[in-house]
Amino acid sequence: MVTLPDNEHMTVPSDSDRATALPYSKRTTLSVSVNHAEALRYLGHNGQDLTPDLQKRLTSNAEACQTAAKPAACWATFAIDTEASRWLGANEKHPVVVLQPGPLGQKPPDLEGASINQHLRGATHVVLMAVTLGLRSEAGLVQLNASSPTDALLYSASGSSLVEEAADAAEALIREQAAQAGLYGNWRFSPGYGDLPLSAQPTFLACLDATRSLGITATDTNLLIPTKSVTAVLGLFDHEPPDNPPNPCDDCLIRHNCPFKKKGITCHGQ
Amino acid sequence: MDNNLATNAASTPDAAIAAGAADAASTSANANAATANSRIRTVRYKDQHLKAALEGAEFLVQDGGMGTMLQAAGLVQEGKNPDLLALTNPEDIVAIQRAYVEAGAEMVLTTTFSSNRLKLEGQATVAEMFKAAADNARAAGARYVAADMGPTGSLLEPMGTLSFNDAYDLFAEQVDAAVAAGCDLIVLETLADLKEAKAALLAATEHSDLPVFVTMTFEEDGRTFLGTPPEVAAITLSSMGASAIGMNCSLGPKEVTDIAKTLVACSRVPVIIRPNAGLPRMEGDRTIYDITPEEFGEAMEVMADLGVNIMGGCCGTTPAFTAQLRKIADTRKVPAPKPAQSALIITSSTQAVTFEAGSPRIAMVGERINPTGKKKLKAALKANDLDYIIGEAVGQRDNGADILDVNVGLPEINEPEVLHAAVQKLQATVPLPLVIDSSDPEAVEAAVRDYAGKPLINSVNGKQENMDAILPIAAKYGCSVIALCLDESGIPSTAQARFDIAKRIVEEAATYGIPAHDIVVDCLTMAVATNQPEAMAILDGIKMVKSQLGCRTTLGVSNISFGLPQRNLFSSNFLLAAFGAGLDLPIINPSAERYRDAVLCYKVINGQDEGARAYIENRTQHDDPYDNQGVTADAGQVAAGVQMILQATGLAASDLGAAGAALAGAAGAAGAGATAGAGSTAAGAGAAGAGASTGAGATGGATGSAAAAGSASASTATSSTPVPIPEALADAAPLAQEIQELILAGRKEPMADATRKLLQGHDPLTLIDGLFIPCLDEVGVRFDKGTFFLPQLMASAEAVKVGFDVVKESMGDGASADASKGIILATVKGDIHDIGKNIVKMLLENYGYYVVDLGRDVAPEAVLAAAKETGIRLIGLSALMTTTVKSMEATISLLHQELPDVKTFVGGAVLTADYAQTMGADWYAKDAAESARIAEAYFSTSE
Repeated sequence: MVTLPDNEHMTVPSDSDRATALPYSKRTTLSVSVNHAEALRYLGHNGQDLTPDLQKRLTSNAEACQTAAKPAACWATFAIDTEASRWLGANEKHPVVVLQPGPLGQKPPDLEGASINQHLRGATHVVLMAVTLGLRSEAGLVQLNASSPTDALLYSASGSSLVEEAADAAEALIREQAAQAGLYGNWRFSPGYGDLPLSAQPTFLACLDATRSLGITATDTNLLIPTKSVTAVLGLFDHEPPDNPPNPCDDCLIRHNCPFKKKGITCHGQ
Repeated sequence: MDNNLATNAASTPDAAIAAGAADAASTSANANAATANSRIRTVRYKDQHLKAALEGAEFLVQDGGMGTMLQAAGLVQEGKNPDLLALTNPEDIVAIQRAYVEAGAEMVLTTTFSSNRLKLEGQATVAEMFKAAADNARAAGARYVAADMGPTGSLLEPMGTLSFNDAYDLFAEQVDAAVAAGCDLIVLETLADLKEAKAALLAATEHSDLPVFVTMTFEEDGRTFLGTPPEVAAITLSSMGASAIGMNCSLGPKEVTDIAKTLVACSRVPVIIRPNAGLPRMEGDRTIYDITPEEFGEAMEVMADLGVNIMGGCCGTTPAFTAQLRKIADTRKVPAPKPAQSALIITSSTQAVTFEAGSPRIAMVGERINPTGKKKLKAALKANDLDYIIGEAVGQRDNGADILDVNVGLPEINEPEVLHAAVQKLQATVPLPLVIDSSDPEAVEAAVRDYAGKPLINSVNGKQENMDAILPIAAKYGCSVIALCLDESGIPSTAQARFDIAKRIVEEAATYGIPAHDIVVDCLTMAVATNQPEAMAILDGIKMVKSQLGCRTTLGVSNISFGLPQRNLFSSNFLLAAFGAGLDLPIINPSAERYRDAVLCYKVINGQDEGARAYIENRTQHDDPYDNQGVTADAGQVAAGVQMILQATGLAASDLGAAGAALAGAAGAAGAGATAGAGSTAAGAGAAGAGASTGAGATGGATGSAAAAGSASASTATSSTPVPIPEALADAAPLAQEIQELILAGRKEPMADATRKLLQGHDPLTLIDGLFIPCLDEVGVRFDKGTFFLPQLMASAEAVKVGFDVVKESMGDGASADASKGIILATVKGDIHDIGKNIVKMLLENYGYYVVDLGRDVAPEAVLAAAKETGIRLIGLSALMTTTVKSMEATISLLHQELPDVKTFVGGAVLTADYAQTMGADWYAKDAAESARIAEAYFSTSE
């Protein structure tokens, strides 16, 4: 069981040294819709005929998912502790990005590994974000899992597309807020990708108070519940970061064994 | 029909008596103990004022936000549990709490929100925390020291991994500490999970005699994170021993007015409102709560008007806010009276079925989950196969059941254990409220204790021993209860005598604090064939109970027609008569159309179906069963009827929603339904005809099926027979081919009929081995090639399942899955992603294997235990994450060590064949289709 320090009833003002607020949201509800094409892609669809029966079932599960889901996000900005951080280099075997505590003493996770190090090189701040479809959407999934594996699969794929849409929307809002503060945000990077360990999850959730504001918890194996939840790290830069949109496959754990790749497609559509 | 007869025969009153006698015998031992117990929990109040407040007669003012004040004082330390400040900075805490006392708070919460064993992480003991925090609150001058407890911080099963009992233990440890620290009351707050709230409340009431306050936190849409609405929270918690219930945190006082109204209406105890200082927003570089103390005070005046008498503040509030509450209490002196809770409310964690006092409403209770007379269910229960129950539940829900009765009573099983497991599984699967149906008090208690919501117990009867056993359980867990009109002398024949027993039960229940409106009386249906005069006695009994006792009523309806021909015809008409007499909760089979029609009609009569929307919508889609032409209701007539209803009810046509749309369709083309009906008949004939004329001609068959489907699915129909038709089916090649096509197209609806037809004159096993399995293999090949994607594979498997079920049925009881071909499946410890495992399970079952599904997050020891117990030696494990693959490895190594003859196959996104081999797995299943091949290989070599 994981212990989640609970900053009971605390609010999180942002960096008070700045004239303009840095990206922060205690809870933002996101108005997004299931992306049917994406959902199909998650199901491994690659041009196969969709019978009307199947099409109907896809639609009804997408609707059920959409109805049950309450997409919402929270995020907060933390300054990078440049002295404590260790950056990737010839002699650095254990790179880590260390963040300064939040203005209320929230303790952010240390971001370990080469992948996140690369992601944040040159950044001054990071935004930690959490996004979820909520526990009711999860309850719907648990229900279907017990009654119909097929419907559960379709509902789950819709949920995956929806939480990605939600994460995209949250990311856009974060970049917008960053722009108002004169900073540039790059893109999101999640624990579990590359060598950024999942063990960051409990601290991640705690420092965002995401259990209270979004209902996300982590299991003692660091998996998020609701399962349709995303935590991610964005870098904030003084100057526009180099425009090198990453290939998500590069950091994916199953890149050597990907069922999509074998079929010549990807799960993310790029 | 046979099945039906058996069902009803076994649930006739004679059977009920027998059951009653059995339970009386089994419970007589603890009957005395039950009566000796005090009937209602005795609560120790610190003083008269607290008692008066908890009777709703006086105001009680709580303190405000602590986090807010700690921030302002700069006391929050990096990454540290703020509760620990009670130990390190007692003076600072006391100063804040004193400010609240000086502002007028009578009740001060200890700073122990996060002080459970998990969250303290060994930095202090729970006992130390409560001792220090209680001392601080007392030093601050608090009149009442309230031991504060927040959620455990972990999510409970079934979504999370914390068990109910573990959550209970965490709270119990805190309650023990609070009692030892001399606290005056217990506060359980900011709860979002009703089950967790129930664990906390039971821990508090079972480990202390202090008043217990429980508040849940609601989101913008008026529900908790887990979907519990305020009416469910209020009735569930206030019925089971909370001294006061309500809401905290969540939103500002202006936003919670509706929540407060519902809480007040549905609570049996005083209501607590402890909102935030409005909604948070960003202003410059700070988060600001958007209302002032004065605005807070004004909004809380509204709460006081509603009948709320316990008030406080949560996030963002300060002593200035408390002062406003003090002012309300001092000015008003006497709270507005809270209306008495008078509705019968039966709930799950997310849905309430509410019977407002005096207003007509019926609710259909599904009777199908009851093994009496049901061979399949009996077999499923004996095999501990709860999936079958889920199937029954889903079917009843889809047929319109409002509530489900759950009975698993079989002599061969451990009823408390199985009933508990079934109820837990149903609660995770179907959101309908449940009726806990058992004659074993131990089973009833096991099932209701961690039920999330307020269930209905079925049943108590007029025998003293039975009341002594059941009523304390209903009272303690706040359940409604069905009262059977029978006692030591059996079932009386007159209405008056039935009424007398009901009255006695109601009076006895009152001594436990169970109100009459929580009792649902069953006047007990007798077969009209043997007890004709009693039919009227039943109806008269219902009338008397309704008018004189204030109880709702239920009946197991179908018993009435026992011994008569065309039972559903008779029973459904009796059902309408019973509705007329005042029946509220018929226990029936929702899949019987006649019952459904009676319910549909009566809901128009009692006004429940406003504007007859549901009726109109339903009837424009279905034929009138008495019209031999099979023609849908004449559109002109429907339109005229709707017009009349609209005029009478003052609704607009657009208000009718879908019904209106259906109507428009019907009016546009009179007899549209008839056309569709005829069309489908013709298409069916067409398919058969085309098939017959083509013989082996595949093209013709495909064309035929295109006509039948009338859709683009024809394009997916194969252009050649993909699987050779076996010799034994050659005489019915077209039908066999149609079945092949249905499977390959994943169309399950026509499968049952087609399979039934093909079964005539053919060996059932030929269908399985010669048709279903080769088709599944073909589907697997197509999936491998990428011609099919996963949902197609699964749709095909579902179609096969329908066919399988028909074949099994025809083979009688002995044809359930071959237990000698058993496979254990589990998602390993630590992993909660089980969709893949469920897909594999479905496919393997459709190949006829006997699958024992251990679920997700399964410990290695549990897998081993299952293998030992069942003797099954083929085990499939799934894990999605790299991190959980380790526990897969641990499971395999334990299995191989303890049971060297066990073979394992593994699957999951991050696995590779190499990895599988490294960890000692015998096979790597890259997907579900591969699992089926592995199983085949295993069993063909092991034979």
